[in-house]
Amino acid sequence: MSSAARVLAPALVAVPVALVFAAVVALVSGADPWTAVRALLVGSVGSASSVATTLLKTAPLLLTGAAVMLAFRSGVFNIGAEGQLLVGALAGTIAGTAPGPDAGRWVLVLACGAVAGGAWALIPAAFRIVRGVNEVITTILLNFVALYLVSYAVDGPLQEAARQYPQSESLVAGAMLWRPFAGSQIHVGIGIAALAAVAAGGLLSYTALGLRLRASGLNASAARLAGFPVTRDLAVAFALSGALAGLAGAVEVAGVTGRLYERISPGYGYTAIAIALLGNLRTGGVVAAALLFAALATGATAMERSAGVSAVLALGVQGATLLAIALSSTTVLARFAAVRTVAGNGEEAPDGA
Amino acid sequence: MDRAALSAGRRGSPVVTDDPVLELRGVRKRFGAVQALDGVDLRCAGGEVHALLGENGAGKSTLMHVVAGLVAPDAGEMHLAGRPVAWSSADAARAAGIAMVHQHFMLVPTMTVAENVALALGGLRPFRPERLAARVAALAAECGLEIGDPQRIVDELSVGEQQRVEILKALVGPTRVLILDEPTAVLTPDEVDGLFALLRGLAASGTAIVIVTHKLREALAIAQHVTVLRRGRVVGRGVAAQLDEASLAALMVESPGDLRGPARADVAPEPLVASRGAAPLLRVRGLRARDRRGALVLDGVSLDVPAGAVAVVAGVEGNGQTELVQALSGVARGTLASFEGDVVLGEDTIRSAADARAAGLAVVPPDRRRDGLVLGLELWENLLLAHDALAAAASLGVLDRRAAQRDAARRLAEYGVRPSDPRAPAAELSGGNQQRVVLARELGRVHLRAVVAANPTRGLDLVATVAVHERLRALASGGAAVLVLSSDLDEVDALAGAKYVLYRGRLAGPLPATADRAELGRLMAGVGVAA
Repeated sequence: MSSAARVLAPALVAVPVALVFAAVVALVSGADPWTAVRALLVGSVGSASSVATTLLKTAPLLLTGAAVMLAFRSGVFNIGAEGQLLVGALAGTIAGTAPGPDAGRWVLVLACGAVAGGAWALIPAAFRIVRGVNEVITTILLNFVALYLVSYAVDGPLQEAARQYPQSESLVAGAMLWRPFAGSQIHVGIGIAALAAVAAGGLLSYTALGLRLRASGLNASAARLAGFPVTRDLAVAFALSGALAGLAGAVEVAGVTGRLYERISPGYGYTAIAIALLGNLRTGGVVAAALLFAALATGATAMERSAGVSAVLALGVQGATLLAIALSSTTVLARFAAVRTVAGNGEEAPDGA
Repeated sequence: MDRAALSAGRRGSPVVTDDPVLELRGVRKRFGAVQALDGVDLRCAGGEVHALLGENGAGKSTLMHVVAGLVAPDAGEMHLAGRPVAWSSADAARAAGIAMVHQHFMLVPTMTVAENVALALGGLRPFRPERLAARVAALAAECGLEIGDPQRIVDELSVGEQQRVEILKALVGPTRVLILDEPTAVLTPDEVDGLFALLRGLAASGTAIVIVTHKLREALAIAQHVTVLRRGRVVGRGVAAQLDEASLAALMVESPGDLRGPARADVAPEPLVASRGAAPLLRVRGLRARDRRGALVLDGVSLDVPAGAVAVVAGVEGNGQTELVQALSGVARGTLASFEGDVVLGEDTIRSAADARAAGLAVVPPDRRRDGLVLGLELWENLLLAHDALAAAASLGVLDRRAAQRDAARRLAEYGVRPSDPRAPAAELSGGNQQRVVLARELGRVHLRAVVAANPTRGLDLVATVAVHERLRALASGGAAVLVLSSDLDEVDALAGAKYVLYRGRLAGPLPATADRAELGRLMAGVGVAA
């Protein structure tokens, strides 16, 4: 099994598993399994418009997935992509609704989103560096802070002038991302997300900073002895991860919703953790897993519409699929990989020291 | 030399009066393209100590892993007390009375010494920590092993102390066959004597003991029978009393011409001690440090190493070795609870690891898996684990991966690392080969003015050990200041530098040139030193 195949395998295996679960869910809820499976397939990738919807959902998942990938490979357990995304969306909205020149405003929106996400992530970084507080706890807690911050903003200072709904004013026209296809919501942010994910992977594999981050993440003691600036690099890892997630929030506001409201993220930042792990913490795998989860979410909506399966059950397909893949990738696939390594790798050391 | 005592291949096993407790016939094991074991026979009687000798990669550890149920053989038979056995797991082997002390420790680092020993004791009954600790302390005393307070966390122990816990673990429970993989590397000469006395006692009570080692002197001192492996085959076996070091050394290596320098005991190395009054290149002043438990681990350590000289600090792990290396390499301020003192290399004061690297310091840390390597990274990446080397391998922050990998392949080949593929993960290498990777990185530094190396040849075979000693001496001859910390008296002799002894954080020395092994051994064990 080539390394590319090993990275992509879990995401690819997930497709048939998801279809089987969809059929089971349909049976349980009294619908026709075949109709449900077809709805899931057609509704996610079966037509131009469903592909577009899937791609739209892919952008934030890919960006947050890359954020988690970069953090985890640097030894930073950033569970806070959700909060960093929300803060990015908030900052992007402020930049996109503030008075000022219109032209090229979208650049400012994206930049503010990334910077805000990165700054938000530096809070848990400071806690860890100064006081040794585990970032798993701080990043989770900060997700709630971010959520209530958005909630306060759209019900207070940022609320639309009409004061009718808890949502912000619309972004100015120049703040919205370019939509190249007339009549389609497809926006340039999807390409930006793909570029950012590739850049994150490239940074880890092809730069001196990336090697330092991975070395510190795997063995801080050895990295310290090597003379690497371990503490500074740790802060950089937090900031870069947060910036990717913050960018996701800004892209969502400037590309899709056009304004900020409380439930702008259906938990992208949490799904991102599953995506990063399912993608083996490699760029190719993260792209495949982000597409898969976006397709599942889009298809689940279609299943409800065409097959009459409750959306709640349909979304359950996502969770069940993930569990099945997690199980298989830690047992069957891992065993398969181990067997292949022993049998197929002639360079393996026979430990004869 | 008595060649007649050595019989090549499988013919003419020595007469073993008792029935063998452990007998292996035609054991074969293949890892990918490597035939690790190629039809190995071994007989070990109850009451016998059997030494298994061979170079890195000869198959010694693999063979012992087969016996201990950690590796399933491809072919061959195993008999325990006359009955054919095949292990389904390491637990099955342990239950049948086969215990192994591994070269790399199998301890739970976050648990106490007592709890680790309790894991070996088995059973599910709840216990009170103090009573367990008392029981473990009693066991240790019975076995003659100094393990200190059993309530200490294993992670806080030195390598040497951890190994003693490993030995204690192996000695609890029924033990018919005891396997020790390189057990003496981190023990003082006195402790080695103590261990050997203990092994003789165990053997006298009927246990079969197999000791895997590179140290011919020790093999001949403790074992009744010797088996030599090379590239997975038995190339010689014999009765220890009829053998000498030279004939064994010749058997172990493929071309005896590789045995140069100190391995030929008749040639004493030229001492590399700087003349009186030479300006020191590496200056260490008044190091005092406390660890996280508040113990004084360095107590006023000062020494000078001039350019072109070798200094050897003899001593066993746990007497301040780890902390001294941390201090010299610039990481002490971040890792120790308190630290004071000065380390100066040339004109540069070393306050951080980056300072140390910039000043041209090479560091071979005592624990290669914890501090020397990042096991999850590939070999070429591990060769870039020095701030200046990494910066040199990148332009505008982007690594020239191809050039770095090409350079890595050359250096790995130079140090005989197997596999030599720069893309192999460091975790896949055997212990000896991992040590070679660290040496290739540190001793091959472009900017090198001084070397601090702790047990640089641990886990290396005879040929590689000689090569490393020659390399260290060559670096000194080329103008570097070389400081080696070692627990191995052979190494202290081979390096022929100024001699120091580090015991309980205090440095004694430089010792007069007349100081002999016995005196060094006494000082390393703290005999005649006010504690």
